[in-house]
Amino acid sequence: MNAIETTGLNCRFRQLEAVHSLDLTVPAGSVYALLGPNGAGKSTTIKMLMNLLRPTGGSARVLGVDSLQLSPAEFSRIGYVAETIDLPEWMTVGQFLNYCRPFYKKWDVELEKTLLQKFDLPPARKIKHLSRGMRMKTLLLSVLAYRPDLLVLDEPFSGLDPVVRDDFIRGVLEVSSLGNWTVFVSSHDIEEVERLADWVGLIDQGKLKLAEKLDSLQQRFRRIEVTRTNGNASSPKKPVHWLGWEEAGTLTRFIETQYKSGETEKLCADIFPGAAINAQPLPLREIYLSLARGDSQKPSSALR
Amino acid sequence: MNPLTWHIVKKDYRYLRPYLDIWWSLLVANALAAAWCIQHIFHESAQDIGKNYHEGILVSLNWFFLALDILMLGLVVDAILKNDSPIDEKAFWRTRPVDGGRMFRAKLISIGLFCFVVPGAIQAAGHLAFGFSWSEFIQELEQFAVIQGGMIAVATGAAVLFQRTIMGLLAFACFIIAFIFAGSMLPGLSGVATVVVMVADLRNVWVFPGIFIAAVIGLAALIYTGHRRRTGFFVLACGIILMWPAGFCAIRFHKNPPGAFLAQASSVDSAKWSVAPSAFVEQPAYSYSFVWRLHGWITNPTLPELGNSGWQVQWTTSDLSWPGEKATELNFNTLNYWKDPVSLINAPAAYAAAGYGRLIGATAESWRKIPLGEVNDVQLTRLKKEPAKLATRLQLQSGRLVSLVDLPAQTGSIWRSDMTAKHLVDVSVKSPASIVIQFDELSPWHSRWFETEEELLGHLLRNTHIFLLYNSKTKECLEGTLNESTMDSDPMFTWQRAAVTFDFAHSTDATGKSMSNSMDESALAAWLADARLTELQFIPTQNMVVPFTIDTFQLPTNP
Repeated sequence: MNAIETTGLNCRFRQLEAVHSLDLTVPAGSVYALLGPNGAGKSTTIKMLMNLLRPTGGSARVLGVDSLQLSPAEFSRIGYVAETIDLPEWMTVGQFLNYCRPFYKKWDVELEKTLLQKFDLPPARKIKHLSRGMRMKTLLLSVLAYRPDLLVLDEPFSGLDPVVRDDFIRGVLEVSSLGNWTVFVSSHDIEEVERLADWVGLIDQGKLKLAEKLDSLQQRFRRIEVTRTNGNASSPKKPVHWLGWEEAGTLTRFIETQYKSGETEKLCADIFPGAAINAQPLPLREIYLSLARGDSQKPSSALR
Repeated sequence: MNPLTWHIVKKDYRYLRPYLDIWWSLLVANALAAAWCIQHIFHESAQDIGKNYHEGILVSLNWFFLALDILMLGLVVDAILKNDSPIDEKAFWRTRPVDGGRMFRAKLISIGLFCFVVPGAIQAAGHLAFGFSWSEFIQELEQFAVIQGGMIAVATGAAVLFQRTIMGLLAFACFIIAFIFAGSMLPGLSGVATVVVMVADLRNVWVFPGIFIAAVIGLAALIYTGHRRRTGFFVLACGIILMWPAGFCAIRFHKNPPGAFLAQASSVDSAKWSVAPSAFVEQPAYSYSFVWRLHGWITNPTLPELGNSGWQVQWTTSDLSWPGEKATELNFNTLNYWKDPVSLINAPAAYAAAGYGRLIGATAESWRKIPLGEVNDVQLTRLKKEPAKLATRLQLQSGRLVSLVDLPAQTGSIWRSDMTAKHLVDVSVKSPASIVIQFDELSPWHSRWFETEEELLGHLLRNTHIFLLYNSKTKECLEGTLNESTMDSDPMFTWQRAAVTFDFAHSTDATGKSMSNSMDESALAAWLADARLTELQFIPTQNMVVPFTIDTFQLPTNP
């Protein structure tokens, strides 16, 4: 069962194709991070999933329902948090929660109180007087309190200071651990996403370039350092799945996108006879950067 | 109502309470201002009646409050709808378990409560407190529904179509201005008068405002619940393009009511009837005069074709052959009843026909002479031999002329008629030549915006009165000049206060000028002692056939 599925999803704004033939699958129960630079089409994708934008092509299913047919029944199972959402500024935090509560049968008042304390939100303060971080936490609280089956976070970390980010992530992590929630988060803040996600998708210029489980991805990517003994630079024939080629003296560095323990070392030994080979795991940020930079040597197997 | 819908309505109320407080306070202030002016009109001196000081104040206030009212309505409707914005993808509620239909229903309920029910209730409270009846209130409700409903519909459409409040308000204002402006395009009429007629016609075929309101609200629902703003613009443009011609056609091809005025009479039993030349000052043996006012109204509102400044008088002089007697000339003078009171005390058999009218909402000052048809061949029935009281039974056979009152002209007299109760608080001698009878009670009437054309052209004449002082001893009859102060407490109701001045003008001198002031106070007081006030009410029919029956008048015997 997938929480989200898109097939050939398209969105065009006149000449600009914001999302191009997107095939996306978000397994239920996963924490899926959609990564991409600004303007990559992340928010547009999410708005189409939430039926806030009408696709110009393709289709999307959310919780098994066509996104264009999402009804209150589905929205009572979906929590959507985005920095762009207009909140009723004139309400206090408490009034806002009071207003939201009757719409949800599953609203957990105890959880609401707990989160209110945990997020350190002042119930009597008007939303318009809240800081950006507090607004986001208020919004998050208003969706976490009914324990949605699908939590959709659109750029939740942008503009937040580190402490608030940490609060935010902790909140999501803690609450999601309470049940079998699916979290779909779009961001370009990779460090935060790495703490959350178990699935990663990379979107750029409206096209999905990669979608994989995070541990598989991290397993697959390695930074390889080759220290040659002859001291001369070499120009070997490089496999296409080696990215980010750098040479400095006897040291050669690159990123292996198809790392397999033993096999990669053997291949390196064949290309660099007698060289010392060191394979280091990569943080997600490095993986993302190596893919997003758009090296000419694109590994066809790694990038879709 | 679904609890969730009500939940949204309550939220909207909390949000809008500051605005609503201001708006509703304005409405209350408007009602209080009207009450203040109405109280003052109560205490207006007889000499001030008809000068409409307070009406001027109230009219100014009404325009002021009307402008604020429209502005506040536009703002409130916009705020209600944009509080849960339907326009863009930022709307918070759209990813919550609220479907667009429920949200729009809630918005309509909010708009209905805040912009229709409460303002209506405030107006109703004011009007009921001022003494209007429930039936009048129901009448008002009808036009209130159309006016307010129309404005709400336009404001709703504008708020939904435009993302920015200022744009929505501008569109709302432009539509209302265009509505008035478009009225001036109708041939033969101009300005507000045209709009009144136009709206009257639209109302006459009720379907037009109904369709318009329903279409705009439906369109707004379409946009609010979906993403079809472009479609919305298209449908609205089509609606406006289609609706206006429909409105114009409704006027163009609207069937005019039958001719409003045609005085006719058939041959009647003729008896000797003569009029002795006499004059009040000369204490003639027999003096009798009376004014017949034959009422009519313009049936074809193409006034410019008739004359220069919009109003024209067409009178003819005609002879009336009294069977068996010498011909008596009937002077169908050009009379301006309201400005130039004519005493006919000394005029032998002065039969005058006068017509007058005004547009709805016009002040007493704007009564004008109007073109009436040619009056000829008016014949009277035989006059009875025996004197009769100038009271109660004077009537046209059509049943449209009734005598309402006959009472001694004494200070403090009270009469009650079938129309209303009036008090004579003051019968004062202004000068040796006149007295003023001032009515204490305001006579409000419901002046509806949405009159049918037929009503527009004839309805208001129901309040046409002639006041006479009749001296039973001298057999003299004196016509009074009615001065009114009128004011519109709002666009719906008109208040009126009246004073009748009886000027004892007398026969003309050699130069034709009216002589006056030749009667001293004691003579006047003596005359008044035997005088009785009579009020005649004329209610013209559309085709007025006037076989006069004057079986209540004193007959002069041949000297």
